[in-house]
Amino acid sequence: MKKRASEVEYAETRDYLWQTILKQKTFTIGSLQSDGVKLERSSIQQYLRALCRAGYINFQEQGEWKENIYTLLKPVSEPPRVRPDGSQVTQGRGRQNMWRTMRIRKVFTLNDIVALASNEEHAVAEEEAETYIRYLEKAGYIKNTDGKSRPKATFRLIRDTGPKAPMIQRVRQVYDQNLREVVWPK
Amino acid sequence: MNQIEIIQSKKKGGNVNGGNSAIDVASTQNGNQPEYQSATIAPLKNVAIATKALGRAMTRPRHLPGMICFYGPSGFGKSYSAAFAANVHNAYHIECKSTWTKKAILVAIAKEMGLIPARTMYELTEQISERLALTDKPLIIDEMDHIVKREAVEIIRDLYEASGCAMLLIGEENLPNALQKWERFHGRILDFIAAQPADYSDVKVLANFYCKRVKIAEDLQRELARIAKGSIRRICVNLTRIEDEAIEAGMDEIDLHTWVDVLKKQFWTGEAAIRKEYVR
Repeated sequence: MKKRASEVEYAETRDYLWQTILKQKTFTIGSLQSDGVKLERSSIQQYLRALCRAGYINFQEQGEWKENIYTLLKPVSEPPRVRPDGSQVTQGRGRQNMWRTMRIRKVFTLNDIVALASNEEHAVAEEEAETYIRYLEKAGYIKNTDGKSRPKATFRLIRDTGPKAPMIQRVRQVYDQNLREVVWPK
Repeated sequence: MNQIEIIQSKKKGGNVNGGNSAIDVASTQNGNQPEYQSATIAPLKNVAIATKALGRAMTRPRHLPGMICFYGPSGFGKSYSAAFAANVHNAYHIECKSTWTKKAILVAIAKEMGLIPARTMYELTEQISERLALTDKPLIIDEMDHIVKREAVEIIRDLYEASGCAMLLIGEENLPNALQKWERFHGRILDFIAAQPADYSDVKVLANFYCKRVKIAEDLQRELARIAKGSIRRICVNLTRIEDEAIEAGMDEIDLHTWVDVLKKQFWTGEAAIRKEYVR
């Protein structure tokens, strides 16, 4: 049995909806629902409303008893993460940057990660990087290659599962968004 | 300890500044502090060059070409800079291998985008260009030389033509020359930029990240810049080494005299056995 947290299911809903929106370009809530996926109208509506406020899509009212027709305005590849008021969620950007840095560098130290993943828009603190590295090591993504203690150690990426950063969830488990499974604890 | 606090507070300052360009932040001198400490490595010469060039290609008017060629000898920190630029611009990044066939290149790009690779090269090209055109994300291709050797340059041109996305092509010193052979490709390049050798100013920036706990005197930093011969990798290795040795000797400040005459240490110049962590 694979463990699942509600956070994960939400991420997958967003993924599914956005992929469908990209395909259809002009759509209604009904056209987003499909037989295979059980989605509440209200939860779709919630996401669409947030997307409207953020300017990714817009809609035209068709009058009473008729469904609104939505159109895609900003086709970005990643499903936008927006709050109900339309502002961007930036949580997870630091980890995404750290993961990308590891995949690009392959061999790296803690200092490398902090230096390369921090920029003007998003700073990565040393403690943040250390925590992430600790979990990834436990989950078997990276390996300590010279046996030094963590701040000085050199790591090698040994398991590159894909572009999406492994998530550390509140329940202290590592979830891989590429494989769509919990990889640690097993 | 004090130094760490300064860096931390600077980090917060950097956040408030928001989207200022790397150079603006670097040139803002704070009167209260004797020496400026950057919260990011953005002021490094090659990092600034690569990040800005890619940004320029992304925001170019559509009638201009959108590819940037970034070239220079190995060790100048091209890939290092590319990693930073990829994070700033949220880019797709692939590093080519010598064994890659034309199809392998396309499959790698598709995987990097999180797509399930299609079967044929034709479908793959369609699939990738569609995704590139949909998003504003740029594509960074490292070790471009392998693509040139495989005569697979046209594949990249196809992707560019179909999507118009900004691309950063990274390769060795003779890359611009090698590309000249494909005239149609050559014309799509907005800029040829040469990687610059690292110098004293780069050592100063890197010291904030690779040698946080020990203060390095200016003469030692200058010497380090001299022996590094332009290589970012050598600077990072030596800064880490200096920090280790100084902490072991119980110092929180170190200068050239102490390093050479008291501790009797030498710099790592890459001439001895190469440490495996810095081999790519």
